[in-house]
Amino acid sequence: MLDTAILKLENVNLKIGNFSLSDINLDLYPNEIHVIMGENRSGKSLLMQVISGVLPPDSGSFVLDGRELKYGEYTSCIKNNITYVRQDSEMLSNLTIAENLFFNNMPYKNRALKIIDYDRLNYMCQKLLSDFNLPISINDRVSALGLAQRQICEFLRAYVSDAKIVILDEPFAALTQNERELLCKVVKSIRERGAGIFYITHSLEDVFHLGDRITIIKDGKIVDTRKVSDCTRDEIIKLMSGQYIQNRYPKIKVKTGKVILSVRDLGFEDKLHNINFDLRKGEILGVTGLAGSGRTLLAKCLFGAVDNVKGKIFVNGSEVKISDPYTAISNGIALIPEDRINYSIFAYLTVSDNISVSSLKRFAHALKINTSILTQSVMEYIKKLNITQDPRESILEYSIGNQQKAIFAKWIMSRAKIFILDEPTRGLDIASKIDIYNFINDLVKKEVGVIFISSDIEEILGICDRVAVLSSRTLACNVSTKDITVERIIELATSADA
Amino acid sequence: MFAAERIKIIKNYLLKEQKVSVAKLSELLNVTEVTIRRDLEKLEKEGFLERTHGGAILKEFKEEESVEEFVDVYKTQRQEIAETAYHLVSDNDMIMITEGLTNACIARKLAQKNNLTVLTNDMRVAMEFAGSPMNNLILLGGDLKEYAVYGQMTENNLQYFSVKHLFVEVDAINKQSGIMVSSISKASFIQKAIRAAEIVSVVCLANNFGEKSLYRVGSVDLADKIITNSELDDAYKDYLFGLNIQVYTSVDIYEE
Repeated sequence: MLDTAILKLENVNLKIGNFSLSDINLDLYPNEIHVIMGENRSGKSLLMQVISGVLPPDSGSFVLDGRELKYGEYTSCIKNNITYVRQDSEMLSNLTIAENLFFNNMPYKNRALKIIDYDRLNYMCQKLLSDFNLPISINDRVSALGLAQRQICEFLRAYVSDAKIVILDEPFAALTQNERELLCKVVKSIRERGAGIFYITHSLEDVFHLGDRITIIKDGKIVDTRKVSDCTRDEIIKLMSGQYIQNRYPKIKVKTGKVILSVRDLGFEDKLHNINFDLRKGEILGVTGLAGSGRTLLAKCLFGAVDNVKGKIFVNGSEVKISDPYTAISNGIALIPEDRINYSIFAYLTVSDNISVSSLKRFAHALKINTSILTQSVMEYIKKLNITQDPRESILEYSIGNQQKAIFAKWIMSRAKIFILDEPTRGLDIASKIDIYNFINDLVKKEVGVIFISSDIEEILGICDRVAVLSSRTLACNVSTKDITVERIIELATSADA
Repeated sequence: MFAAERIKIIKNYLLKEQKVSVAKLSELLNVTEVTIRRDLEKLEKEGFLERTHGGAILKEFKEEESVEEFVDVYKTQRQEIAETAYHLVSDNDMIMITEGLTNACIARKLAQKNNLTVLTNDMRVAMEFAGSPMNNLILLGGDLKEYAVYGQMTENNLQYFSVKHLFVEVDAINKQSGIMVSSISKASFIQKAIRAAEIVSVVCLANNFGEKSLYRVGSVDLADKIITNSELDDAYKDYLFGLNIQVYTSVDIYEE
């Protein structure tokens, strides 16, 4: 490792809304893979946005190649030195592979006239692809590539660029063993050509396989930076788990009843397989896992929101074929999706319409809906669930917390018996979170079964009776929350086999 | 089915079961919920029943009201709180319940448990367990003030006990002064009781948050859990979560 850092952040602070990065000290050397690890929402991506010049910091010094950048210089200076490969593909899908890979380093016949030397371009690209043994043709359009191949191409783009600093953001979700090896090879090649790499990952395997140093970040602060060769697995897990507070979640004791939902050998494409679990009346089953582990997909499979789900689903002991959400709802299954705006609310309807939409049948009489009784009933929910503002306004005008409470009201009103909650408290204010925990208490008191999907491990352990961890496309465990620790959950979630 | 017939069935059902849900009646009589709700509205006007969220309860007989009985405006809220408390206690637990109307409701509900050992200084709480041979009740001794005993003798009595779960009903909770009650003897007794308990649940009606009372028991974080009703102000939810206190708002909304 050379002596001078290519990048050095000192006491950097940045506040965005109610989240802040505070007192960040971080450096990067040439020929180094510097792994950044932390839970979802710990501030990893925000930090990378600062480094890549998207967001200038509020205070602190930012030294690039030995020179401190002044305010106003960020974007231009950083642009030429840093390549940021994000999770979403940024390639131009209607151009060829060759054009995409060398987009920023085109060989020109005439630079002034911008006439591209296609022979040279094709030669360079062909050589690159054969160096890495990639079975793709240089003239294919990007749109013809699979997700994994696109990701490899993104990496190659970082390889051929001159950038001294390369940021790779959570690259290895959902890849096969071969694809992973290939990606690792590309990452190492980027290091060999002298660049420093920030490598964001959730996988402990990646840390030991690739990393030179590791920095752990939690709640916008750096917990520690260490040499990977000096750390053990357990130490890293310990650093990541830090201080957890589990006893502030209102949890009631309920005698669980009969099994209300059984899932046997559920699978979906190559993303989920061999999923088995039982849910009892009055029970809260927590499901956690890393981003991309299939948490949301599992919820969709149970709700019939995706096609061709393998395996069997039993509701109250009898098998049901849940081929679409309508069947799910008529079997008493409710889903509160993570993506509130796109899948959960009817944005331009009023709150009272959003609440009553799944229960209209109950208010039908002589071929029409009795609106006065309907309104009366909806108002009771609005009052009891502490939803503020005017029910006649469009739901979009409400705060996120109130929107989510209205979504709960919808399924509570429809008397669903199985609630699948996908990140129900994400992004909510604390008061709404507490309301939602108490709604869930009311549900289990009345024998509803709840599947509680969350990436917040503290919340899972505080609220749920059992916890299942999704890892390597299946449930890695399914145990009582009393018998598991935060450390163990992190270990299970991060030790995905390839 | 004729309306008169339906109403007769509803009346009979209520006389037997005391309460009923719209869903249940709709299923029973095989008519729409709208029809049931109309019937209930009619019966409410007649004074036969009282409509509740998603159903109705039989109205208690008028005769009782002629005896000048205290009308509790927070009856529903107290019952909701009692429902939560019920789900925080397991059979065989050793618990203590201090003086209060809500605590008396909690006691009534807890009397349905098995093999509890209940320590109390409130006679109303004690009365709730009088007809419940499945549970053991220990009544502390001391000077009787209205319905409960207080004073040196009671506190001396208390020192022989250690309980798993303590339910303390208080008169006010606010951010500046903490947990407040209306008499010095009560404050002193509660302080001693808290020391004898493993888990402390503070019971307080939502409208008493932000209010003041004269005597201070201590800071809010003496509580492990706070049990209140669903009208609790959002600012307090935020505040209490920040203190790592479990906040139970006793929501009762899902219709079975």
